[in-house]
Amino acid sequence: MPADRAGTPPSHDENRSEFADAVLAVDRRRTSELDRAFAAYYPELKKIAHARLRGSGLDRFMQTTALVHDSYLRLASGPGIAIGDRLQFFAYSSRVLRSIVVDLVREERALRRGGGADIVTLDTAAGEGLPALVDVETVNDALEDLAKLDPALARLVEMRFFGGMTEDEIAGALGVSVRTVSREWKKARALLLTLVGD
Amino acid sequence: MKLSRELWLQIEPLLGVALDMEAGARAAWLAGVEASHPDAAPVLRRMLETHQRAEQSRELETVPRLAPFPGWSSAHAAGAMIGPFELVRPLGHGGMGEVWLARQADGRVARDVALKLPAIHQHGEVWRERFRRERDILAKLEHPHIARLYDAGVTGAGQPWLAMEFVEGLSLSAQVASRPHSIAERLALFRQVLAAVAHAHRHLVVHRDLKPANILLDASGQVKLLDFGIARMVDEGADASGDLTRLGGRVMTLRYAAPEQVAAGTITTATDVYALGVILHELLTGLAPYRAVREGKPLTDVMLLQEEIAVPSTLAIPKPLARRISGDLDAILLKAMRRDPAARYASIEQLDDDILAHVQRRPVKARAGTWRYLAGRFAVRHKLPLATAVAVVVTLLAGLVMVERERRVAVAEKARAERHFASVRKLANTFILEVNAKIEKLPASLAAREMLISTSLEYLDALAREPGRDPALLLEIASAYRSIGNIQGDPRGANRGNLPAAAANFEKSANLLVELERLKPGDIATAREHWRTSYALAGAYYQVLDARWRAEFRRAIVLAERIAAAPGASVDDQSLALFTRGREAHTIAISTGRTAATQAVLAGAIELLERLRLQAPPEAAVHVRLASLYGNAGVGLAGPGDSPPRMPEAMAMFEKSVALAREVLAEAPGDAQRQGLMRLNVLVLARNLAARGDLERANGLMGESLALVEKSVARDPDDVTMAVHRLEILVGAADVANRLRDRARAMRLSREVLASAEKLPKETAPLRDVRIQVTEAKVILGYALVATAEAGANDRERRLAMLVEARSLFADVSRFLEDVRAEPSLGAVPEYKLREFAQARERLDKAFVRLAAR
Repeated sequence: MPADRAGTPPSHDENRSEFADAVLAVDRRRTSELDRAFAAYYPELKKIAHARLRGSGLDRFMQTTALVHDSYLRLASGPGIAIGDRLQFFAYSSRVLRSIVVDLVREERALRRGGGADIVTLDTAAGEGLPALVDVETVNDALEDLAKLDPALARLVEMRFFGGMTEDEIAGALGVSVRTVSREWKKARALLLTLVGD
Repeated sequence: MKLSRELWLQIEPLLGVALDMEAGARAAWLAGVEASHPDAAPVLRRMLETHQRAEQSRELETVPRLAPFPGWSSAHAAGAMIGPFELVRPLGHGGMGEVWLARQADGRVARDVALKLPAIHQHGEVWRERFRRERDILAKLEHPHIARLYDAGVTGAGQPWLAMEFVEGLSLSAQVASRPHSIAERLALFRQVLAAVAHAHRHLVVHRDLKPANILLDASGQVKLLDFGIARMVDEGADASGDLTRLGGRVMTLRYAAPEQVAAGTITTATDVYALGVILHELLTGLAPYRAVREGKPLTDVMLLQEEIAVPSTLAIPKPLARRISGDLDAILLKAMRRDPAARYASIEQLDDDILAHVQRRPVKARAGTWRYLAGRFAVRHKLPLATAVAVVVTLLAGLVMVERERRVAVAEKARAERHFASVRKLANTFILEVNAKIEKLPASLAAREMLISTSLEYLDALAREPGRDPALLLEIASAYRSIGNIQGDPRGANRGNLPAAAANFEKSANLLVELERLKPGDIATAREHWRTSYALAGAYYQVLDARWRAEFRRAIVLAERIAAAPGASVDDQSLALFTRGREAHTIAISTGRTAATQAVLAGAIELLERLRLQAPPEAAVHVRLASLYGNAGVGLAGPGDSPPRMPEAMAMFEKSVALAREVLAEAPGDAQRQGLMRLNVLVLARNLAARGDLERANGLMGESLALVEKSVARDPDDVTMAVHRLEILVGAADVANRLRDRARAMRLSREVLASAEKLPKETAPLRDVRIQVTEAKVILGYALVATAEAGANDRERRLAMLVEARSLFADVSRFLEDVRAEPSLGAVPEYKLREFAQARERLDKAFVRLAAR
């Protein structure tokens, strides 16, 4: 019977399109006031992200990270900004963080003489187990491919990996269930890592 | 690998199904898929394998972090000059930068120094200042076991340098490895290190980067500690520059880093205690406390945070050594390396006491909890009846432990607080000053700015509640309150139209500034800030009909005069007092009518400002103030007062105000304040032209400023000042249209005023300016309605409807006039406006009676 089951339309199709709609709604709002404001706010966001990025390492202040994060959230959920703009904000900051991370890696590589791919890697070890080394430029390139296949999934990776958002936060921001986000995340990760592999 | 979209669309639902099922069921299911979807199955299989692996390693789930990069090549060359030093040869390098042997060659002193060149570049006076301050603290650190910091600076190119005592010697670990040392010898060396660190801690300097490489032994066997406090100095620089080149440095020190330093970046004296524990561990056992290091693997922060440190004597070391270490030294090491900073030795002295106690065979405090141990020691030394001794000692120790715990917490808290304080404060100020200024010019940024500043202010406020009143911090907080006030209701800039809230924040700022003036009497920076706050508060009070505006103006004048009289006052400073006096006179004139005195003050201020204007260098602020005062003087001359209006003079003032405003606006077309000045001056000129019958020019000017304001309103709908400005211009344009007998346009424009006023935030409606505009619009609309009805182009029913509407508008105007009479605070509404309204009412009354009777 397995073949039959595979042949029937999956039961969560509706969730799936709901998720894609929610993610892509963010794109449709690109011309909103907030987006324009943040376009010019980019250099500042970049500074903040620098601090935050280092905060993910060892030797930075927890408190400053907390302040930055706080400000993000406060800005995003404040009464002055409409709900649509909050989606925009979250998505926007992860997009900004993505380009910052990639820029940083490129800058570092350009700085090092004879710079090669092995010089800067990203340590994404989250906990126990061996540190998985994923090259950030490779992820970035694969994300481009992923966006062509499935733009919603690419955006999800952006939010989770580059934006550092949790599944709960993403679900809240997009207005979909955590379960949906979790399922889509697994798909995105399997697809992305498969694209990264040769 | 590459994947086509068609194939992915096939795979996607299958992947969803597979992910939903138990991992064990997938193999059988995949076999089925191979039959039904031969193209998709292989890729799907790979994806599921990838999924399994990723579930284990949790790949992609954390924010990326840059790993260290290997390889090094010097950025400097021998013979190069850095500040007053000539580079001789490199001594070493690390993640933090390079160290060179260098010769001081400026003729003052001839000496060799170790010149540290951090791999950061930093420009900007703020950072240099901080660097200098830090240097001054460290240069005072004089101790036989601490390598002196002679001097530090930043080259013109932004390269920071630190000149330190050049110590020739071996590192502690190399020295110990070079020949056998007894435990007693090792402990004696280590106690020299402790003496140095304790000295620094007493001077509130934490090393932050203690490691064997930073501990040298010179030829005479004396310990010299390098790099005291340098990590902090460099950190601050790297932090301020947003420069990441130092990232490689952390792994080098991870081996000696304390868990809280790794997890949260918290640096306290307890951080140094931990590092010393690791160093002593290595010194005594020859092994690192972490398994990964012992096994030659890279140490990660995760391992550091999770590994339970083994009892040192249980490690793979020779039996006699293990016996020697077990007991006291085990306990001392473990206490120094406790994960919880508060559970470690509270101070370096206590660590040293315990080592000394061990050497002298007294009880070691690290083993305080084990009464059998204490009993044993006492029994050995005093031969007291055991039971008594144990009881006494346990009681004594319980009290001691309590006191110690409190002290320990206090010490740790202080250092931690200092760290938080500095970093939180810096970030909060960045938000308030830099980010706010950057986004200020953006459209629709008010809500974001208010959020930004109020969040930052919360943090600053929290800092201010900590003990010790730091004047610089108070000034920052006062300025932050004023910034919020400005956003909520700057009487002259973009704002959210909540003047009562703005006034409350200006008051908070003013209260802090009063306190600051007590702390630092005569400080000019405080006075400047206080003037800004006071001037803004006077304006806010005036708008919300609070009679305190007069007292606040007086205070602003006193402050401005103090600033102008201070030595070294700039042209800008000097213009401040004149301007404030002029503004006060103007505000009095428009609220209670012109007097000879108000006009004399304005004329005097203008004359002196004109003179200042001729002084080099020309100050834009002076021009802006002058343009503003010309307009104000004109309003006074044209308005009601204790003598008849002097229109020709007034018109000349208006023309000048517009010409000057055009000039300053041309210099900075994007400047919101100058745009506002321009709009206001044009509006006043146009209204007066209209009143004098030059309707054509008035109409042209009105059209110009209406177009300008519509554009600005569209840019930021939240900006209430702009919206109120628009109301004023619409009223002016409606007035001109009415005078041109274009009743349809007059009606359309005044209806627009009423509709727009409805849309303002509710806090805005009671504002003086808004109420006046609305009332004026009602007068114009009512007048236009009556005139249209009288013209008789419409049928009777239409005309009656117009009259009914005019009557209702008229009733509103009357009610406003009643309010003015009933509320003394509204008495400050200009007298001539009241008279205009009264006249309008009479005319409307007559017209109504006439038409109704027809």
